[in-house]
Amino acid sequence: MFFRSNWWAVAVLGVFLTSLATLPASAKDWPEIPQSEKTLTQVPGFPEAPAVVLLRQGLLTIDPQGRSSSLDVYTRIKVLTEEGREYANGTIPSSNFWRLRGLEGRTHLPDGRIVPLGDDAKFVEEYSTLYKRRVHTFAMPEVQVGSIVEYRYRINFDTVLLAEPWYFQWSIPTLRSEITLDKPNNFGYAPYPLMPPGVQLETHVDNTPKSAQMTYALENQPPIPDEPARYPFEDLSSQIVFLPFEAIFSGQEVPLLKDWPRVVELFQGSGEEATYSRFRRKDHAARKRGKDLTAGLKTERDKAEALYRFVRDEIALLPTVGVEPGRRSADAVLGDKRGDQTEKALLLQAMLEGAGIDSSIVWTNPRSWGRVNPQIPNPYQFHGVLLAPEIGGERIFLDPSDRDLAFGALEPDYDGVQALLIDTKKPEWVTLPVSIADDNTRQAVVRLEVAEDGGVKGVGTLELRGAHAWQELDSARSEDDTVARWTKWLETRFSGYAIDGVTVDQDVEASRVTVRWQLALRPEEVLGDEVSLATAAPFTLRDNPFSLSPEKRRTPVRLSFPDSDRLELHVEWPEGWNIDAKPRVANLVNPLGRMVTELTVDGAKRSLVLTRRMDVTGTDLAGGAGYGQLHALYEMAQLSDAEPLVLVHE
Amino acid sequence: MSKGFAAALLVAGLAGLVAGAAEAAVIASRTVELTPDGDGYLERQELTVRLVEVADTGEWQRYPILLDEDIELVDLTAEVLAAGGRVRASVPKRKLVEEGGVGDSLYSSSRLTYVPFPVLEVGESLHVVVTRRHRPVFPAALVVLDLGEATERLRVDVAPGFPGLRWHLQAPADRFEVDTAGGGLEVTARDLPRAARQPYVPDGDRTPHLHVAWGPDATWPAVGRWYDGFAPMTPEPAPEIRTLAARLTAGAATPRAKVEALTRHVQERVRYEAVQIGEGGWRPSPPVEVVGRGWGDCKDKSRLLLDLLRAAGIEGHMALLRAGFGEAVAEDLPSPFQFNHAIVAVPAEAAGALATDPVANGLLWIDPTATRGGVGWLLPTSQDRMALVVDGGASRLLHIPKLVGAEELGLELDGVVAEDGGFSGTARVVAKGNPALGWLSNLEGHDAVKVEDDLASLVRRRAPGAKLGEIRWGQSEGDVPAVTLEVPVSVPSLVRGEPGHRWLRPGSLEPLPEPRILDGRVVPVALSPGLWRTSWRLALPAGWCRSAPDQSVLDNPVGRWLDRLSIGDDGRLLLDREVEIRTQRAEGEGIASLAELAIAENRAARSRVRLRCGGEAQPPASTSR
Repeated sequence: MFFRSNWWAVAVLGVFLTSLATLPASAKDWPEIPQSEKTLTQVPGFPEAPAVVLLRQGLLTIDPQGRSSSLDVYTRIKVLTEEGREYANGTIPSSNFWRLRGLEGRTHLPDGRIVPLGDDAKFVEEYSTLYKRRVHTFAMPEVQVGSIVEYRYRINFDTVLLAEPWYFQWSIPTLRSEITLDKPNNFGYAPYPLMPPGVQLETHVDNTPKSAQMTYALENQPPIPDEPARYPFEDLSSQIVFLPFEAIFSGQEVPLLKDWPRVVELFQGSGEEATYSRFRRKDHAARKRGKDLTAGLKTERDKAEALYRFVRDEIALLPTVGVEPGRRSADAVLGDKRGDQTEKALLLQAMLEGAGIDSSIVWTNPRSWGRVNPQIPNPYQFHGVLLAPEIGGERIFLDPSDRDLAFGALEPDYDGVQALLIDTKKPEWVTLPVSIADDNTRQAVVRLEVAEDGGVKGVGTLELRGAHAWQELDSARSEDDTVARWTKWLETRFSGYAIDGVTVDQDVEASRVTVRWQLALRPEEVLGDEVSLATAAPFTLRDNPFSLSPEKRRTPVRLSFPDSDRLELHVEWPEGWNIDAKPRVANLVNPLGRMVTELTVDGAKRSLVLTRRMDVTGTDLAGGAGYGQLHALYEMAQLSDAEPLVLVHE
Repeated sequence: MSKGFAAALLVAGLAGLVAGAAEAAVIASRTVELTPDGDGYLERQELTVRLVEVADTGEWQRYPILLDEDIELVDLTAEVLAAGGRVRASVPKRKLVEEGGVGDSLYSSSRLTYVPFPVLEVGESLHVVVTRRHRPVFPAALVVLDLGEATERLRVDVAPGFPGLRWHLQAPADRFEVDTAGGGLEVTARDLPRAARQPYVPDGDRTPHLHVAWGPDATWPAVGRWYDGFAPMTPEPAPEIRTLAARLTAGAATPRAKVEALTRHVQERVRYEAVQIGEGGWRPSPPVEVVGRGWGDCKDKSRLLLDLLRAAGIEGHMALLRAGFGEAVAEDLPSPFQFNHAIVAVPAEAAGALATDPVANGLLWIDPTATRGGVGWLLPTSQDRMALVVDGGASRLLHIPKLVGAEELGLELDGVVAEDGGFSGTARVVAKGNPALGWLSNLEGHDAVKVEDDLASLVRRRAPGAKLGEIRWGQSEGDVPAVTLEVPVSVPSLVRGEPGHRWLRPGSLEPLPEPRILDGRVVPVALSPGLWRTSWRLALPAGWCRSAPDQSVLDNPVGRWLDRLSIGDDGRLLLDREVEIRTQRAEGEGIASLAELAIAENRAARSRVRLRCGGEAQPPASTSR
C-alpha cells in the first residue's frame, strides 16, 4: 500500500540504517566508542567545526509480507565547541505512517561519566490531528565541550515503499555514515546512489537464504555549509535511495517502482493502489459542473480560464505535500470546496474533461526542494502537481493551488525544472517554461522637485511584473493592509521622506502590481542650502548579500528567478540652485547581467534624468565564475547606489 | 519564569494569529466575562466578527483557542451567520483541531486549538462563544483588549466575587472607560480603530491589556511570600550540590572569587533550554535535576546558583523581573504575571562585591542565564528596572542598577587620503557589553565567514566600496564582554570634488530610530542604551584645505548626540560622531527628547563635510559644513 509521502520525516534527519553486522547483539547494548573518537578535539580539514557526526547508522528492515517494516537509527555526535552544544538537541518527526518507538540516548562526559537521557527530557508536540503529525524533541543531558552524545530509535511503517533518500552529509562534518538495507529475497530493490564525481561509496553485500543485507557507507564527509542563495541541501549532499522495483508473491512477479510507465500505472491504473483513478471514479458532478460553467463560452481558452479560476478561487487549499491525493473523490472535493494541490489539479482535470478539454497531470518539484532525477523512477521526489491542458495546439501549465497565479503562470520555483507528464501512454519528460529577466521586472519612475527652501516633494510609480509581482500579490491580505505594507516599505526606502497617498493596484491575471505614491522631504530633514538625493531609491542596495569574496564561496548559487530592476529618476530644481556633486555613473556588463546608470543633465531646464538598470539574467550558478560575476554586479550596485546627487543653493 | 508573560504574549499572539491578515474584518462586538470559579476563574468570551473583504474569508477560516494544562475548554459555540443573521453553519466542539505548541521554548504545554470553519463568504459573520476554565498558579488574569482589528463594541466584565480585586489598565486612557461600581470591574470601549503595528515597542506595551489580581497577596512582599511558598527551597542543599560547590570553590580565596566560580559554572556549564509545562512554567526544577541533565531555564539556573551559594555559605535570593529592552513593571499591581525572568540577588557585602560590580540597594545582582560576564556584568535587558527580591515576608521591589559605560560599539577608521580621494588605513571595531556578544560567539565558534560578512557589512554601510583585508581580533580581559577587531581597509573616492571644493560624507553608526516612527507616538519606545561612536582620522595630502573646527552637541534626558570636527596636532582631520542612549524606555515627554536626538542624527548623516580653505569660521545655516 502506498503512504502519504513524509519526506520531511526523514530528510530532516537523514535516514540511516544500522548494519546488522555492527549492531550490538543485545538491544540494550550500545556500540563501543573508539578511543580515537574520545580524544578527537578537531576535525582535520575543518578546524572551525563546532561538532562532528562520528557515526550514523541505519538499518532498514523490510517485512517479507510487505506489511510492517522498520527503520532503526543510531547517531553519535561529538561536541567540539560551545556553539556545538546546540547539536545535542534532537528533533524527530513522526505521523500515523511513521511511528516512533523506543527513543534512547546518553551523554559521555570527558571525565568518563555516562548520563542517560531521561524521560523528562523528551517531549512530543502534535502538529496535525488529521495525520497525527508529531514532532519529538529531546535535550541530551550534561552536554559540554568534549562530550559525545549518542541516541537511537526505531520508526515503524506499514509499507515496503521507503523512497526517501538517505543523506550522507549534514551541516557539520561526518566521519562515517552507513546505511543497510535488509530485504527479504522476495523483494527486489535497486540502490540509486548520487554523489559527486570521485566519491567512492563503500559497498558490502551479505546474502542469506532468505534475505540480503546491502550496506553502503561513506567516510570523512565534509559539511554542507549554509551560504546565502545556496543550492538546496538535497542537491548538495551525497545520498542514496532504495527503490523497490518488484515483489514476488506465490511465484508471481509484481512490478513496483520498476520504471516510469509502471509508476504511472500504479497511480492511474485500475489497481487498488491507483489513487488517481480512485479519485476520478466519482467525478460525475465535477464534469457536469465543468460543462455548466463553460456553457456559452466560445473558445477552449476561455473555457479553460474560467474553470481554472473557479478551482483556484473557489476551492480552498489544504496544506499537504506530495503527489498522492487524499481519500476523497473529485465530487467530494468539489462539494467540500477544499482540497490539496493534487486534489485541485485532479478536480480541474475532471472539470476540463466535462468541458471537452483534455489535459495531463504533471509531476514536478519546486527547485528549492531539490532537482528531480529522471533516472530514478521514484514518484516521491515530486512535491508539486500541476495540470497541462493542450489548448489551440499549445501546452499550457496550470497551478490552481495558488490564488496569486494567473492562468498559465507558474511560481518562480518551477522555472525551468523538469517535470513528468503522467497521463499519456508513455510518460513524457518536459521542461517547464523558463522566464527571462525581462519577464520579471521592477520598474520605478520617481519625479522630484526641489523647492526654493531646499524642500523636496514628488511622486513615484512602481510597477512589478512576473515573479516580482507574484511575490507581492497576496489575495489573503486586505486592501488596507496591502496599502499599509507598501507605505511602510516606501518609508524605509525613502528615508527622511513622508510618504502619502499610496495606492496599490493588484492584477493577478496580468501578474502585475502597480504602486503609486507621493513623497515629501520631512521638514526637519531640510538643510536649507543643500539637498542630497539618494539616486537609487527605491532600489538602493545597502547590504550586499553576496559580499563574500568569490574565492571563499564554497557552494553553488541558486537565485530565485532572473530579473531586471529599472529606475528613472527625474529631478527639477529652481533657479539659484545648481548641481554640486553628480553621481558617478556605473557601467558594468558581464555574462550574468548588467549594472548600468546614466545621467542626462539639462542645465537650461534645470533638470536631469538618471536611469539605473540592474539585470541578473541567470539563476543556477554552478561554477565559481558565475558567483564571481554576481558578486561583481552587487558590489557595483552597492557602490553606485551610495552615490549622492547634491544640489546647492548658490 | 516566562510562563505568565508568555501566556500574555500567547494571548496577544493569538490576536496576531487571527488579526495578522484579517485587518479588514470588523469585530462588531466582543465581550469578555470573568467569574470566580473555585480556586480559579471562568473566562467567557463572546465575539461577533463581520467578514468584509475576500481576504477575511481566508484568514478567519480557523479561529485559534489557546489551551494549556491550567486552561481547559469548557464550552464552545462557533457559528457562521449568513448576511441576514441566520445560522448557516456551526462547528461542534469535537471538530476542534489541535496544532502544536506555541513559543520558542524546547517544549511548551500551551496548545493552539483551532475551530475549523467551513468555507466562508464575504458579508457573513462569525459568532464565537468560548468558555475556558483557568486555574492559575496565582490569582491573577490578563485580558487582551485589542485583537488587532477595528472593534465597534468592547466590554470586559470582571464579576464581583473576586476578593480584594485590584487592577491595572495598560491602555490609552482616552479610549477605555472603567467602572468599578458594584464591587466588580467593567471596562468598555467603542469604535476602537485598527491599531497600526509600530516598531520598537516593548513587548509588554504591544497590545492594550487589563491585568487583574485578587486574593490576599495584594502587596509585593505578599507576592514574594507567595512565591517562596509556591517554590520553596529545600531546607538544605542536596549532598550533590554541596560536593559540586566545594569542588568549584576549592581554589577561591575570597567570597567574590567563590561567587564568581559558582556563577561561571552555572552560566557556562548549564545550557539554557526552556520547558514550560503547566505549573512547571513557574516552579524551578530541583537543582539536583538541573545539574543532572545539564540544562535549565532562567529560574532553574537561578535556583541552582542559589543552592550552590548556600552550600558555599553565602545566602542569596531569587529576583523576579521583566527582562527586555524597554520593559517595565506596573508597580501598582503586584502580580507575578508581570515577570518573565529570574536572576539572583546576593548581599553585596557577603559577596565581597567590587565597586564596579552591578550593585544597588546593598545587593549584587547576578544573571546566571548570561553566557558571559560572571558577576561583574549584567545583560542590559536586565539592567535598570525594578525586580522583586524574594525573601518571604521581607520581599521587596528594588531597582537593579544600570551599569554606566558597559555598553559600547565604536567604529574607528584611521588612515591616509590620497590625491585621488581614496582612503587606505585601518578600520577598528570596539564592542563592549551586549554589542560584543555576537562577535565573540562567531569568533570563538570559528565562524570566520560570518565574522567577515558582518564586519564588511558594518564598514561598507559607512564607507561604500570599502575593501577589507585580513581580520585580527582580540578579547579584552575583565567581566564585561569586550572585543576589538581590526582590519586593513581601503575606500575608493572617500573624498570627492575638485580642489577647493572637496567634500566627504563620513558614514556613522546610527542607533536611533528614524524620526518618522516617533511622529505623534504614544506607545513607549524600546531602546538599547549605550554609546555608539564613529571616528574618522584622516591624514590629508599636503596642500589640501581643512575645515574649521566645529562641534554640535545635543543633550537631553534620553541621551546625548555629538558631532565634532577638529584638527589634530599632527594636522589630521578628526571627525567624531557619538550617540549615547541613557534609557531603555522612552515615553511621554521622553519621546520628544528622543525625536530631537534622532533628527540631529539624521541631519548629520545627510550632511557633507566640506574641505574649505581658511577663514570659514561660521558654518552656513544648514548643518552641512
